[in-house]
Amino acid sequence: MKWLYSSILILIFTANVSAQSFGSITYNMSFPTDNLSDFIDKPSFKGVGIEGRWFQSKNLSFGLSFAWTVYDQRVSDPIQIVKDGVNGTVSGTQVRVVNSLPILATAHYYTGKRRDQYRFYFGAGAGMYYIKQRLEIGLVAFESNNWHFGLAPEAGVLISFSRDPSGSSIASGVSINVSFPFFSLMRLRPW
Amino acid sequence: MKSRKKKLIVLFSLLILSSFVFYSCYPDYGLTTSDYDTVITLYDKDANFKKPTYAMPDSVVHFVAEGEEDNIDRSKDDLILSTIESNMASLGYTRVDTTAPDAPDFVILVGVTVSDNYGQVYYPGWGYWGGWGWWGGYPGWGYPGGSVVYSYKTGSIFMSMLDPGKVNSDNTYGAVWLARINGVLSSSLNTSARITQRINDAYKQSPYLGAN
Repeated sequence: MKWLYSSILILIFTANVSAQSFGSITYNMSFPTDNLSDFIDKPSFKGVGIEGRWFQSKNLSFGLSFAWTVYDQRVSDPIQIVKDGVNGTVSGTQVRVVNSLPILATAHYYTGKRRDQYRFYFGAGAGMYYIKQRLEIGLVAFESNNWHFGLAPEAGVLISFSRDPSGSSIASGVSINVSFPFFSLMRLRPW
Repeated sequence: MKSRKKKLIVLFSLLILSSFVFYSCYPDYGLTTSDYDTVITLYDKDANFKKPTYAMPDSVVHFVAEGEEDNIDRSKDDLILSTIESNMASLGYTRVDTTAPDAPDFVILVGVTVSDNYGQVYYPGWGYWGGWGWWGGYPGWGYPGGSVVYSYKTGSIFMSMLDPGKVNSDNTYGAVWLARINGVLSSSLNTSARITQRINDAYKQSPYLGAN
């Protein structure tokens, strides 16, 4: 199976962690790969997310996450047209934008004990990605909006601070997430 | 840590993130009028461009709707034709007179058109506040939504390179190369520079052209 688009996300989060649950707000930095990097190769520093995880045991959690990442780039590369026997080129300043909004169900496994200050974890998310792609050139814009199934393996570390007597704490952390929504971007060349 | 302090941290994080999100929604790409220029070139991949002569009429055709007066400015026509001529010369083509006894290898026809474009931007109103009931009399207030209409002119230059040796079934000459340059017309002084640049771009992005 070919991954039609992927990106590597670095998530920096602040979370409220208790024995039963974990709620976090993330700032996402994304690095396009595969076909996405052919359309937009500029890293995105425009991403936010929220996530809730519920612990089933001290090492296992299930949860839900929602994120929004905006990839955008201004480009001047000419677009080659090869269609129905017509060959040609279109040139002009282009604004390329991809909005990626994944809604994922997640599962994570944690190392160590619940009260450890540092806990490494790994897991994955699976769900739907709403992908909104837009290409503006001159006074014309092309847009495609679609839902795609996708996967997002993730590994990270959770760092807890100043635990209160009830056992809950404010935590921060960093994780790396590789997103794989299955979708094809508009077939324009050269990417 | 007290839960109030936790809430403050979460709220502070939300505030920073929301300001970031709103900034992301409306990126400024710093586009200027010339960034809306586009150059489209199409060609017949079976055509033989390696032939030396071409003819081009001394006038630019102004496309206007039937019954409408031609109000298109003719001050740029010479510039358009001379820029095409210099590009063709640098590609090794020789311009011949349209009345020459021998048919040229190619004929280049040039046309321009201008269009008025209209758009409308809608903005939402603020909700009507229902007044303070117990006080009576105070009517509340609101701000109605509305829209702003804007307009702009676009101009297009069409260049068609015809091969008299290639006749279509309807007895017209077949086009072997077409270029369309489209842009927003503005009153700025750089219109001539934009025309020159975009015609040069049309040739630059057509590397298959050339008499040799």
